[in-house]
Amino acid sequence: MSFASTRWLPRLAAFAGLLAIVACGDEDPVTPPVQPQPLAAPAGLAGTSPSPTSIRVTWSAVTGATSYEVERATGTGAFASAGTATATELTVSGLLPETDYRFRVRAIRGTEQSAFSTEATVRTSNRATVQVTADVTTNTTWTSDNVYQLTRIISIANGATLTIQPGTRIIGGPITPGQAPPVTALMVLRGSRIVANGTRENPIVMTSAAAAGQRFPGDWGGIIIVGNARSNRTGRVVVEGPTPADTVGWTGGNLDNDNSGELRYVRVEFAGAAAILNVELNSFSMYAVGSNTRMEYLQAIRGLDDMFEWFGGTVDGRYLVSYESGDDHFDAAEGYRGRNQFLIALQTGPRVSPRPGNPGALSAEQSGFEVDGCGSAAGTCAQGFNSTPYNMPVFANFTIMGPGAGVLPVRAGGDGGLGANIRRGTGGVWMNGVLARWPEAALSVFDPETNTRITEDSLNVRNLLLADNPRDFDAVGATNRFGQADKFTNNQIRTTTNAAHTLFAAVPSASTEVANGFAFDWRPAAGTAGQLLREGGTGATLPGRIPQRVTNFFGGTLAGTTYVGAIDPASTDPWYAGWTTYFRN
Amino acid sequence: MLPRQPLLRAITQRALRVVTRGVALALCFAVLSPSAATAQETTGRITGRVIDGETGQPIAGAGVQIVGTTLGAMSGVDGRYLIVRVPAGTVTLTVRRIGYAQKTVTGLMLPAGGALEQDVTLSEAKLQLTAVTVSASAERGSVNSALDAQRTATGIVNAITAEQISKSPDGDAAKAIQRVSGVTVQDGRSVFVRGLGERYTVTSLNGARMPSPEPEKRFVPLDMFPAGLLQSINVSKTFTPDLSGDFSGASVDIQTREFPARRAVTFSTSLGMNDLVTGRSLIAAPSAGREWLGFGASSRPLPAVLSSAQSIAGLTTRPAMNGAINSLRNSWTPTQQTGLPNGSMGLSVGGQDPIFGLRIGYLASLTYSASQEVRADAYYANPVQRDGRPQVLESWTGEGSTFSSTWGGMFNLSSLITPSTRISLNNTYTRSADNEARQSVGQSFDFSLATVERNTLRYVERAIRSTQLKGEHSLGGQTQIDWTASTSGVVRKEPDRADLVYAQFGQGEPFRWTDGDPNVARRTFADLQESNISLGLNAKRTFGDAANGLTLKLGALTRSTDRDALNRQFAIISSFVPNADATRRAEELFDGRFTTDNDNVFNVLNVSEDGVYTATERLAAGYAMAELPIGSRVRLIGGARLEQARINVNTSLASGNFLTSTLDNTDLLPALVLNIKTSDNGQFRASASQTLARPEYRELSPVQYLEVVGGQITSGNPNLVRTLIQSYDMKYELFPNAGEVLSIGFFAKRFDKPIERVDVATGGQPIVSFFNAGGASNYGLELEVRKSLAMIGERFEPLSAFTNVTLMTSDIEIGEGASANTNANRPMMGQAPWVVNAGLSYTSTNSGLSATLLYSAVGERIYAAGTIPFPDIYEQPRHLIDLSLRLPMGERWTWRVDARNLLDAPFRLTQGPVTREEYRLGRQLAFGLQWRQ
Repeated sequence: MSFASTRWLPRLAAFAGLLAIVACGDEDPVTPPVQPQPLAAPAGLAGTSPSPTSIRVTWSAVTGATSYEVERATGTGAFASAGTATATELTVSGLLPETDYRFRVRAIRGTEQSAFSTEATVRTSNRATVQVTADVTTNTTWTSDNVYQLTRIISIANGATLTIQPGTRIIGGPITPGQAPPVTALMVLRGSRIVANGTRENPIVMTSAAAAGQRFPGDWGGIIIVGNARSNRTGRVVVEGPTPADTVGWTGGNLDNDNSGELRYVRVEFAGAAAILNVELNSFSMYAVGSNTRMEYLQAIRGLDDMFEWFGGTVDGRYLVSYESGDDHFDAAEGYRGRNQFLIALQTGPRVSPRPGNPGALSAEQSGFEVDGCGSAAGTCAQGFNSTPYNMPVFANFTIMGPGAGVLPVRAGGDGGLGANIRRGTGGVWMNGVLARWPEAALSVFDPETNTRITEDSLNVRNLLLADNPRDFDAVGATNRFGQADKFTNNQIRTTTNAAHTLFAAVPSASTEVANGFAFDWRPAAGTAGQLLREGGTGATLPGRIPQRVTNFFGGTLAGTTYVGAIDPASTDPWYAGWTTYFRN
Repeated sequence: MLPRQPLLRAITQRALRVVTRGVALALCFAVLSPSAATAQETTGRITGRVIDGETGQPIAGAGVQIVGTTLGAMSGVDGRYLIVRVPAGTVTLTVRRIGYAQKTVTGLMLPAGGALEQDVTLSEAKLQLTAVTVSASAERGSVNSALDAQRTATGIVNAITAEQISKSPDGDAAKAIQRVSGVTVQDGRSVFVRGLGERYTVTSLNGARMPSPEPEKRFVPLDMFPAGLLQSINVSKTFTPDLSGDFSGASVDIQTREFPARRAVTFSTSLGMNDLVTGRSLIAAPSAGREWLGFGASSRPLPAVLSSAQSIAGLTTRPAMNGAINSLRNSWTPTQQTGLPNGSMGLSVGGQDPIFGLRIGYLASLTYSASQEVRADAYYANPVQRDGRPQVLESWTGEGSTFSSTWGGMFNLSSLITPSTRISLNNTYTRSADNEARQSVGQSFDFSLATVERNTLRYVERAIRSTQLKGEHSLGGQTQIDWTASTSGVVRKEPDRADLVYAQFGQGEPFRWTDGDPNVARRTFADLQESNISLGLNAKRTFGDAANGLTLKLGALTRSTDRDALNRQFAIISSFVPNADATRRAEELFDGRFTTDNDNVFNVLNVSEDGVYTATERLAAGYAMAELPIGSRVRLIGGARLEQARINVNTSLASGNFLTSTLDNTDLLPALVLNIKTSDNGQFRASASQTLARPEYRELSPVQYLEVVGGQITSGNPNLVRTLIQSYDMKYELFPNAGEVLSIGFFAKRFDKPIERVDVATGGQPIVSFFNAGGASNYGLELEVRKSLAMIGERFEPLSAFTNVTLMTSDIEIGEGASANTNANRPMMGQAPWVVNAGLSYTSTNSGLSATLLYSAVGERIYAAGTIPFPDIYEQPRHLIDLSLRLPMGERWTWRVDARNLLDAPFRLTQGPVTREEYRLGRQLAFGLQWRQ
């Protein structure tokens, strides 16, 4: 049947056309060819949304038109073709749910085009909300025409893979005003995988169940990935958040090239829920995640605790954006040995705070980077801060900008408000970065063990630009503070006198919260571009032992750059454009 | 800061207060008590008990006759008899009962208008009926030995009696019970028997289970029972089916005093000092309300505006938020005060008098004490692993002081309604308050080792009440039935605890408030109430010979326990306190200058979303057991108990949801005891039994919460199962004379799935939780000697010595699971390798002067299991020496002098080479006076 129809359809169509022409000729026998009437613009354009991702538009027929061309625009954006139709209707699919689209249509006759119709705005229909109450234990796909509501901490378990389509929305809730919400999160257990490949146009969004404008940091938990790589803690150490009765241990793995899946173009918003003060979850928690896991183009917005935290493991990352943290922007501890390139963090003011009545609170010691060798003093670090494998992250090409003075609390000991708080025996590499506007100091190296890492050449801080920090290095202490300039001589750490935000094309001045939907431009502002280029044009050569750490990075090599910061000054299409966004609530 | 009071004035004030209150109460009682007997009488009365010389059990239906008269009486169901209008002078008694040898007691001196108490023991009749004649004074010895619970109990019992307590300086049950073989007391109030934690000890009052007022552990704080209310404390170490099934290590039964044979009024008072307290300048928690009576909680209420998590969410405007902050008491830091002397007093009235023709035995008693305790030269530290061993990471020095008051009363009535029916009503109430201040200064890891000052103000109030109605019936000679209906309740309130941390921003700078930190100022409100109602019925029938037949016991018990607990905790966090103001005291920061109208400086946060839970336990049990004599020397006791318990714990979340955890088990618990009388005064016992231990209610609730005590995050585990315990005991005892004992015992226990408190390491803060470990074993040796030194020579006759030594070892196998973060194989928590008690007492036969020297020490024991790589935290031995003197002055007065803790050895916790905690409690000296009529 289908064979017959495909074979005969074109012939039937041709025959019908011929008949039409013949018929036309019959009807209008006037010999002098009359100039046809100019095509009128179609009228009566209207649309409906049969599904959350499609819109069907219809219009009145235009005499003489042979086909119609439909254009659409998202919101207030520019029009682009959405397809052509010979009938007076067209179904446009692949749209974002719950989004306003503008449509216009014009009639076509040969090469002739009518004017566009009056615009019609059509909103894609609401997605059905799917309540997720059970763990994912078999291979499952979450599709973009649904909203998935996490009602508790949902585990992907039993070796299952959860595939999430681009544009899919995941919310944690319910959120009832005046009540502390349940602690909800998406947790990938050891041996299971998440494949969340969003696109630049259709990122995957995980956010609060509350309506836009009524969201608070800590409304839900975030994403937790537990892998099977090594960490430097011993015994059984459990994931923060879930109650110990159903605890998930993350230590004891030995598979450094473990694979927990893929995350691309994923935004995690308003995460960081806490059942109890000081036990807030992180927006992205990576527990012993292995190096075959892919993590790139990820953004965390207004989380109540750390935005990205790695507990051991080896997973690499790139193109990471953190906006308004309740604690640290990038936290790596307990034997984490992954590499990360192109990172942006911005903290403005006022400080984020949770929904009134919720038990969580923002940290009193917020920093850009907080990196600990073996995290706590409370135990399970077999050799204390010297536990192995050493915590050895690589952070390259970062632009980490704090809120400036007067936003974060001033603390005894000065263990907050730091660009990079490097402590408790960690090693690692910080290179080609910008640390700006941190109210306490740009860099702090704490604990004798961490100082030992410097002398062992396990801790390298190279080629940084420091701007707008009251001190470049933490105060000198007798036994505990080693973040002094002399530790980092010949490492091309430069200080600029420019106000930090003036270095960039479009970054708000200190303590100013950006408007919803603000578009950043982290490329150098005119006149300051030189500040962001490496001194002496030493180029991309990596010094010391760093070259040993750059191979096998996203299928290539972690390359040195001739600039500092998260973006190539020459870029015409910044990597953060299009999929990142900035919300207050 | 309070102006320092001159010491003398302070002492005088305290003394006056104590004495005036005491005198007022005494007058009160004197007026209420029936008037004293008139002097013209020529007769008196004789009362006492008839008891079985072997078992100590009362003998009902025994005929007691005054020789040479027609006066006589039958002993009641409890063995008591009373003969009135007996002519004064020298009296002889004859006591008869079928199955027992008749006994005649001679030489009783009955004063005119007086009363005489004479207990009589009867021994089993041998083949031929032999009448026995003894003197009154000789009979006292056999009575003492018959009443020696240690000797006559079915299982293995160690006891301390009112007489022993009165010779020691021990002011409450917790102090007294430490003298018992194998018993240690932790934190001054929770009892460990044979090194097993509080979860393995159950506590009852006159046989009825007491509920626990403690939120995190299940135990009855024994320091709430003043020594003046106690008759004895019996510690049973072996299970018999008539005991509660969750008996697992031991059962502690507190017996309140029995009413005396004749009307007696006793008043005592004491005044004491502590060398680290009295007259010294101390920190003190500001007082509020009637703390001295244990009614201070209502002056520290939980503000209605903060009563739920939801209510904080409603604080959407600045005036509302500021109003909430202002609704908290503005009290954050200790004041300075001069240490006061300690004082106590007690009054009791008892007797038996006819009311409407019915003889009613009664005892009313009231005690009060107030004291101040310190933790002087306190040091605290936390470790870090460096160079392969723990080293000090952060440390503090400081001090603490607690003002405590405890009062209690008792009102017991008992009457023989018919010769075969006795009804008793026992009422007990005690209430205590502890108002504690702590302050320490040191370097804090959380503050990047900057110097901080920590302040804690904490007030805890507890009350325990118990009412018990008991009936004993004798149905013919062979069958006895008793029943008990009891209700008891506990309340523990810890209202408005304040924790405050001030930090130094640089060397030599003043301490100041820290902005933006939710950990620097906390207020906590905790409230717990638990009550239970129980009904018990026991029936006993002897088949064959009354003294030597088969005895069958059957019983049933139902008990219903309900608990309500509340725990709400708030953090106060600031945005910006101006620099110039941040060094002000917290009481100034919160005096309204930053919390008025639209001020936007401080916010209140909820610390955790839960905090309220209820628990119910419904228990039904039945048992059957038999005592089978085999020949005249061997008794075999066997039986089993069936117990069904259902525990529900409902935790309410701020989200409005409930989480319910349930534990439901029915268990059959068998026990077998073999008693062999190796000689007239020697005895061998062996027993085997199975018992269980159920999780504490809070341990079953899965919600995370911040403990008030310790401040760590705790999470229960709804998957916990009950622990089964097999126990084996052997003991050989010799009772050479009344009051003397030589014994050696061996015990072994095997625990299946014991519940252990463990540190769970997480990616963030560690969490304390509870898991069933694989198994544990506990075994040891107990030695006890109590002997008069008369054997050395006549001069040593007034001296007697006692010692008890327990040597034990235990091993817990943690097994799989999250608990592997502690040492996988180690002793059980709290178990010491040795416990030693020793004493020497002197009693002058003519002056009545007595002196007692007491020593006790406990070997190093695990205070908390260490998290790897750290070793376990051990409490180091403290050697305690106490001394007591009693000096009678005439018939009615006795002086007493008590000295406690003479060595003032420090309390010390160590973890490998690191001292985690250390402080001293001070030496105490008290002078007391007792008057009796």
